[in-house]
Amino acid sequence: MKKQKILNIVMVVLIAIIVVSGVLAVGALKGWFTKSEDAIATIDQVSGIVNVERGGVGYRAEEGAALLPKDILETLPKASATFDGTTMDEQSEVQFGEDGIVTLNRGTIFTRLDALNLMDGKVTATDAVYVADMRDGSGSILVLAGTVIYEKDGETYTAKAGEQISILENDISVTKLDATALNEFAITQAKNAKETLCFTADDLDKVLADREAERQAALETSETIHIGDEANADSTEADADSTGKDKDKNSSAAEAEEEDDDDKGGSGGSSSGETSGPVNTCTIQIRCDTILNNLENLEPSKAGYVPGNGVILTPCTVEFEEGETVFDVLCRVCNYFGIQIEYSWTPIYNSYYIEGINNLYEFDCGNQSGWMYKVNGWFPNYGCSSYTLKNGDNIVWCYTCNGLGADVGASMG
Amino acid sequence: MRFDSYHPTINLIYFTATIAFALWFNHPVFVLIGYLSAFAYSIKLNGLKALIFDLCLIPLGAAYALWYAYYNHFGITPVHQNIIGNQITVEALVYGSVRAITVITAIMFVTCLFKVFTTDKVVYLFGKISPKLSLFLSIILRIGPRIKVEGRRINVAQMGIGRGIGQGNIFQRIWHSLRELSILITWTLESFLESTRSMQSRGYSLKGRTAFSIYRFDNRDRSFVIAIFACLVWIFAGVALNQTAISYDPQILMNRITPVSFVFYLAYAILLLLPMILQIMGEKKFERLQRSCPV
Repeated sequence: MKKQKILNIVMVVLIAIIVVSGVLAVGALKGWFTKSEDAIATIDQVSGIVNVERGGVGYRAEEGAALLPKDILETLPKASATFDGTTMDEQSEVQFGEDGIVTLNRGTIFTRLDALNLMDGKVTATDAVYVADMRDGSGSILVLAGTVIYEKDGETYTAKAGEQISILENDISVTKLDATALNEFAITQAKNAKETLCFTADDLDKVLADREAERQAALETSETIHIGDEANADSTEADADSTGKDKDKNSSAAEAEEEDDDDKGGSGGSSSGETSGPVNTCTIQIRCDTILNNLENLEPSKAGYVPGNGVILTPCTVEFEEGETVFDVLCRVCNYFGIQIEYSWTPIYNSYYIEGINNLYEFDCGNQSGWMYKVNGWFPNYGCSSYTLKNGDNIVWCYTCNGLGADVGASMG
Repeated sequence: MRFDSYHPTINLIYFTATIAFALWFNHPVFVLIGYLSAFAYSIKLNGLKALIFDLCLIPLGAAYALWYAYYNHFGITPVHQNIIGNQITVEALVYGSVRAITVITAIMFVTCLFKVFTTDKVVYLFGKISPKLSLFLSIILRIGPRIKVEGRRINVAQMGIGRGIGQGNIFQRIWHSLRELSILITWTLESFLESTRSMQSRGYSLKGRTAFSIYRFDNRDRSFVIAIFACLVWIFAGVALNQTAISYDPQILMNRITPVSFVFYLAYAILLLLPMILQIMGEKKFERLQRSCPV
């Protein structure tokens, strides 16, 4: 028996050694044991799914993690990351060299780095704020402040604020930078930047407004849906950028659905096109700004589907027939703008229940979160396909995160 | 070297780990490794019957995936539109099929478990926890067949005096079966009483009683435990490093797959296939020894 006991103890000791060495290995890789002097950068903010590859293994990056030389930082679709004054857009990859110099492998970054490697060339910047971009073998550097020098194959190119360096296969040129060359990500970052840039906030807002107008002009004109709230005089150019992106993906599906979607299980209502008699209109908007106050509870994979200003659909006017419900109008509007929506029929309540709009579902932001609607400022608290609309109703769909409606103004849970 | 001759706790650890991982992991590579290992192991243990069973499970899995996609509509790549207007998406289809495959894998491992984990091993393991419980269990497991045999004996005896279940008109038959049932119940109670008295006279209720078992925990088992724990630690390191992480909703996003990721896949494959490898090695060695030893 004694021999058995000894052997058992040996076995347990060996297992303990294996477990401890496993924990130490994972910790070393994840940087639990690195001292702050060794880190060359710290991740300040992460939105969506961002991975870091260290020592041959890729794992998820967390806010506050330290970055070491030879790390590769990558953002997946609909994600972004910020470290030490540099913000990465989605689907970008950045590598930290042994000497501490960052290399942009692909994607877009909005940065203030003094040194950067881009497409086999070196970027040297002095007090500069610029956007470095590289996709599909061509790249560019858009300088918003300061001076940037790009060196490749012995040639040097200098750009000052308001100029851009375009890097193609055989041709590198320095040209003037126009505000319309900036994409949504760059504009958002530029507006948040504390430095004075070559474009003012008004210039950037104008670009956004122009783009929004183009997008709305490109939508098929509908007899029953008018963009813009007639009651609100100030046009919200706050971009529903998710709406735009979804529209591009689903526009063909949306237009195909236009013809056969009009009556969805609600109460009656003939198909649109006949405007005999007085026209009934209502306004509808969809917003999820409460999520912006609860970002830590949000599922990481959904972070890219929350618009920057929290507005999925700016107020717009919709015509409807007698007897149509909130549900009919919501479906029509979402199909027109290409906003993803999911609903289910609940027999015990005899109505449709909206589970998700724009890929934001119930319980995605905490276990009390979900979609609620109010009409003329009051929450009906029953299914949206049971509320028959009257002329002039104002519908607001809002996403609640806490208190079953308490944070959007409903009186009880 | 054969896996079913190892100590029962080893079998328990292995199957618990395997089925838990099979149900937990969502990542396509891990799910695939689990499915293939379960398929191979069940065929090795049960032969052709297992092959037919596994092949029948595949259409059921596909049906489940389709049902899942029909009723869950998350995802950004629509394929078709529902009758009430919801979208059937690729992400929901893929997630449904992944869930179906994990459940199928667990079912196949459970069939392997039934083959490897015989009744006496279950009784032995229960006996380690409490000897009384294992004795109770062994008595319970014997009751069914014993009652059946005794019932048949009673019926034959009653038939001899014309009071069997199949004799007489309908009322008489009912009466005869009721009588036989009453005889059976009486016999069961009496036999319980007898067993209790005989167990008591053998010191069943004394303190410090241990149960006899034929299983020894020797070095072969110890090395297997160390190997399993090494694999488990490796797999948990992979989980901590997000190698098994994947999000399906609303877009399918996986972690980067680097050459080192294959080391984690290998660890999972080793954990799942170790018993099968040991079984095959053991049987081959046995055959070789049999052939070289003329009898």
